[in-house]
Amino acid sequence: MILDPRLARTWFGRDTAALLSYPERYAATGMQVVQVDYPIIDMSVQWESQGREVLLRVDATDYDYRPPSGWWIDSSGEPLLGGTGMIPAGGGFQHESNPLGLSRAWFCFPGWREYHDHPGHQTPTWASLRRRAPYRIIALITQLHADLNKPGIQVV
Amino acid sequence: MSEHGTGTARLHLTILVDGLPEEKEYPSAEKVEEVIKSLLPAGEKQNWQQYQLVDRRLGPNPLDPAQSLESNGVKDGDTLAFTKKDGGGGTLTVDR
Repeated sequence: MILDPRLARTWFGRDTAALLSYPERYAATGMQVVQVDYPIIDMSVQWESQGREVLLRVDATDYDYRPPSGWWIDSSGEPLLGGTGMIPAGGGFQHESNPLGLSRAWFCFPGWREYHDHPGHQTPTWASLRRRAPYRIIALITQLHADLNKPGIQVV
Repeated sequence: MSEHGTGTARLHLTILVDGLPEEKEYPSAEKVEEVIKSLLPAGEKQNWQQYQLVDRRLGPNPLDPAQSLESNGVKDGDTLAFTKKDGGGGTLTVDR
């Protein structure tokens, strides 16, 4: 842990309040709120091309000093891995070990922790993005859901 | 004349903007292109083609920006998601 957890919790609470206040609005767009409990958010997001939902876990430890981390999980909370025919690949959706060597999928999009931890991504820096509205937690999740449903995403 | 056009029927919509639900009202005849521009800050409006509106009640495809909300099938009370068409993800090779 890097950031005072009270401060991280405050940022987290501010940025996730809408998920708890208006879950029906998110559900109408294909994003079901499963759990919001600092520092974890679980969302079930609709994957239209597969005709099913996939469970997203977001870990916002040290938010917003560091960006949130995200990966796919199964119903028991274990990481969903490539080769199971259950997760997306391509267009930024990575299914191999993440940059820290953890065995779970990761998101190669600006605003997500693994993107900024990757040695190949020195710009844009998280510091330059983190206070911009499109890079707050809910915006990142909403954009990720849109990317999940863009053309060309494969299943592995 | 309204802020967003001159159509008669008006649609009350919820739009996720930067992930946050915002209550909006537009004429049903408003072109989606104009709706997208209205959701962007001044310095970003010229890049409107990089953005999309999706009404999941109508399916996963983005609304046609050349058509009106009504022609796209948007109804009063719908909830739309406003995002970039592409979140900037890296190009990948899928292992076979």
